[in-house]
Formats: sequence, C-alpha cells, structure tokens
Amino acid sequence: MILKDKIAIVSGGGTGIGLAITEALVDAGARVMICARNFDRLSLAAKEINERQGEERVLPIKVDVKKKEEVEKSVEEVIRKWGDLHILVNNSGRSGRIPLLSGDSAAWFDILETNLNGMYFFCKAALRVMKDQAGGRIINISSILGKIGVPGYTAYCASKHGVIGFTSALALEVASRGITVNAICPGWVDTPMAELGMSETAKALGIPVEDFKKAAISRVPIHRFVSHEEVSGMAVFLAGDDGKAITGQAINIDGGVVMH
Amino acid sequence: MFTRLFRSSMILKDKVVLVSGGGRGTGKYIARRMCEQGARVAICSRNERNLEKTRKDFEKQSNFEILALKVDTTLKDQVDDAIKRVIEKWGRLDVLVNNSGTGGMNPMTWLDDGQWFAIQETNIHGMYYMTQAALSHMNDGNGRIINIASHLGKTGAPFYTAYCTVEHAIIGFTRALALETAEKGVTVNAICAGLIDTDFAKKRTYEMADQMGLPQRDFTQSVINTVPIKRLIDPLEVASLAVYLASDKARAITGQAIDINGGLLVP
Repeated sequence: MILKDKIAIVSGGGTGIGLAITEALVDAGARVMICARNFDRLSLAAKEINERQGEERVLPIKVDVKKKEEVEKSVEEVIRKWGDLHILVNNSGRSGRIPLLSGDSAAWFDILETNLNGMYFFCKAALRVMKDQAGGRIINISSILGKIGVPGYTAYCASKHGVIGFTSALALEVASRGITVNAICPGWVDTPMAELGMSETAKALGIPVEDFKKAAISRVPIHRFVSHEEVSGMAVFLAGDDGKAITGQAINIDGGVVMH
Repeated sequence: MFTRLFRSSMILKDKVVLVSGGGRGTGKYIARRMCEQGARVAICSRNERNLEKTRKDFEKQSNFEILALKVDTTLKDQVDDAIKRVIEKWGRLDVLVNNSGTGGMNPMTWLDDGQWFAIQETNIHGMYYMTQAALSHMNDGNGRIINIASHLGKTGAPFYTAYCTVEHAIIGFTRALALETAEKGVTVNAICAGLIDTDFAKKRTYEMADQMGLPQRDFTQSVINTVPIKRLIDPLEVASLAVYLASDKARAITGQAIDINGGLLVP
C-alpha cells in the first residue's frame, strides 16, 4: 500500500481517466475526493468504489472548476473531513473541435478556462493546505496535444501546452517545500473525450468514424490505444515515495507517438 | 508456499533481466530493485572485483536469483557470449538495462583523444552490441530495453563534449529503436538521471572542482544548491523508475527519455 493514509483530490474523477486514477489511488491505500459538475455520475462512481472497499474511501463533491469559490470550498471540505491533503490530480478538462474561423468563440474560451483556470484554482487552494516536506504531489493531466498540434484543436492544444508550461514553472516554485509538480501526457486512450474527438474529426473529414479510428490506431507505433490502467499506474508512481525526485516533467504515455 | 504467495505480488515475477554495469553504483541498485520485485537478474561488468562483491552481497538474500557475468560490453564476442549464458540458464530474456557507462571531462584543449573515443566506445558501442544481442531473444511481445542516460543527454556542460555527445546519442538511439521494435512489442526508453548520489558522480564533481580550482566540498555543495529539491538523486529512485518501466504497467510507454533530476532540468 504505497499510498496508505494519503489524502488525494482528483478533479473530474467520476469518469474516464480521472475515474481510473481514483480507483488506482484507492487501491494503493489513499482516500480520494472526486469532483465534477455532474454530481449524479460522480456519486455513483463513489458509491461503487466505497461498496467494493467496504468503507468510505471516496468523497464526491459537486464542483465547477471554473468557479474559484467552489474549488476553495471543496478543498476546505477535504481538510474538514480528513484533516490533510497530499496529492492533487488536476484531471478535469474539456475538449472539442473548434476551427478558428468558423468556430464558436464561447466554446474556445471555455476550453481554455476549464483546462487552465481549473488547474490554477485547485493548485492555489491545495498549496495553501499542503504541508511542507510531507510528500506533497501535484499531477496535472495534460495530453500529447500539449506537445504537438492537430488541426481544428487550437483551443485544446493551447490549453494542454499551457498545462506543461505551468507545470514546469510551479515545480521550481514549490521544490523547496518538498512538493513535486508533474504532468502526464496521454496519447489516445479509450475515453468518452477521445470518442468525441474521433467522431468530430471523422465527421469533418467526411469519413466513417470506424475508418478514422483504424487510421488513428495505425499511426500509433504500438498499434493500439493506451489503457486507463497505463495512465493511472504512472499517476500512482508519481504520487508515491519513489517519485519524489521527479519534478517539473511532462511524461508521455502514448505508445511512441511523441518523443519529446 | 509462503515464498510463492509473497512472490505473486511482485511486479516482475518470472521476468529475466540483464543489467550492464551492474557491479556497482546505479546498476547495482537497479539489479537489487529488480530482484526485490521477483525478477531473475544477470549483472555484467568488466570489473571482476565489483562483480564478485555484488554477487556475494546479493547471495545473502535467499530469494534473489542472480547471475554475475564478467563482460566488456565494448567487445561484441563477449556480449554475445553473455547473452547466450543468460539464455542457457533461464531460457529467456525480458528486460535489458543498458547502464554501463563511463564519463569524465575532455576539454577541447587536451591533446589526447583517448577520452573522447573511450567514452563513445563504452556508452554507445556497448549499448549497441548489448541491444542487438538481446533483441533477438525478445519475441513474446513484451520486451523492454531501458537505457540509462543523463540530463546531459538534453543539455550541455562545459568540458564535457564527449559525455554530452554520447548521452544525447543514447536518446536518439532510443527514439529510433522504439519505432523499429514497436510492432514486436518491445518498448525502448531512456532514463535521464540528474545528479545521482554515487561514487561515479562524486568523482565527476571533484574533477570539475579541481578544473576550476575550487575546494571539492564547497563545489559539491554549490552543485547541490543548483538542484531545486536541494539534494542529490538517490540511486534507488532511479532503480524504482527502471522497475516501473520494466513492468507490465509500462507497455504503452516507448521512445521516451524520462527525467529524474529533482527539477534540475524542466521542459
């Protein structure tokens, strides 16, 4: 149990990669607050894990990460309930294909706001309560689109590149407190968000989504999608004691698509 | 029975690992961590004394399965022979850790070229021969090559042209080979360690101090002060990352050069 007695927060922890990370943190011994806007899905996920564990290990809280007060309140709630905070996983995110000229500006800004401001508010609130030299960890879920661009995704690519810049700067800012800050950059993972991306892009290209999926997989050197567990495994590694000298990094888990 | 139960929770159970430069320093820690996770581990080194000492250390652990091989990785025949002996003993090879390496200064004002060639031979040729020989035995779709590089594979340092050249080269090799072996199910990654707490690194630091005419201890402290986490990297931390990359959880990580440097170098 490498995370026994650790307290964690996973934003967007009710679905996709966030849920997988939550489950892996719990399996490693941690207690986890998960938050999202959709409380029904969130509480269902929490209920399932808690029943499986036979105790309350996951706490669901309804939070819109774009709203500073809601983020702050949720962190306060964690402290009130469990008295400490060690691990913050900023995983909430929004994607969407928005061609710059024909696109929807409101959606463009919403992607930036969700992916950057959400992370910012959570880091700020978490850093106020994380103790110095106590194994503090911040893990930001970026994407390989934080390192390369794809057409139609200026908003998502800008935000995910931004996550990496933020990660490297914050890592240096809090290194003296014994807190590490890293990003994980997954490639294609079978999630609702990837599903959306593929159907949007296939539609724009005028091809069946299955064909797009096949072509996408053929461009991955290992010829398959990355599994949820392959991403959550890295999150647990970084959160554990063995990860304490890794900071300011953006680690790709993408089957060899991007190598920088 | 107890041993079996205990072993089943180990993430490298039944894997066969070969660690070059496994007689001391980081390589020795990597071998130890791999053993602790249930792997059968062959270590090789050209230094017989280090090799013997490590073998004896490891044999005190009744659950470690170890094979010590005297090998100069710059000699293809010796490398081929070593791989053959691993296969003879355990019938397979799952993970190769290319950790053998040498370093040191080579100011361009030096007249002697020996250091330039020696560093290349050990760090590049050795990796090449080892990888070539090992790859032919990684056929079950789940092989691992882990190359130990350095933060100097991503940045420069004065008077270290040779070392920086080869460490950058390791990363280039890693990226290209990862694509070459992806369909075979062999992942290839590098670990770029920052300033590690080993004798090897200590020697380098003292060497730099002497070059600059500074007291060794003061200079060492000033080097540590440049690391944002204000300490050297524990070789066990490097070893744990190697274990993770060797495990089944890391099957989708390939072609990467992962930094473990306490924030010394960030993107």
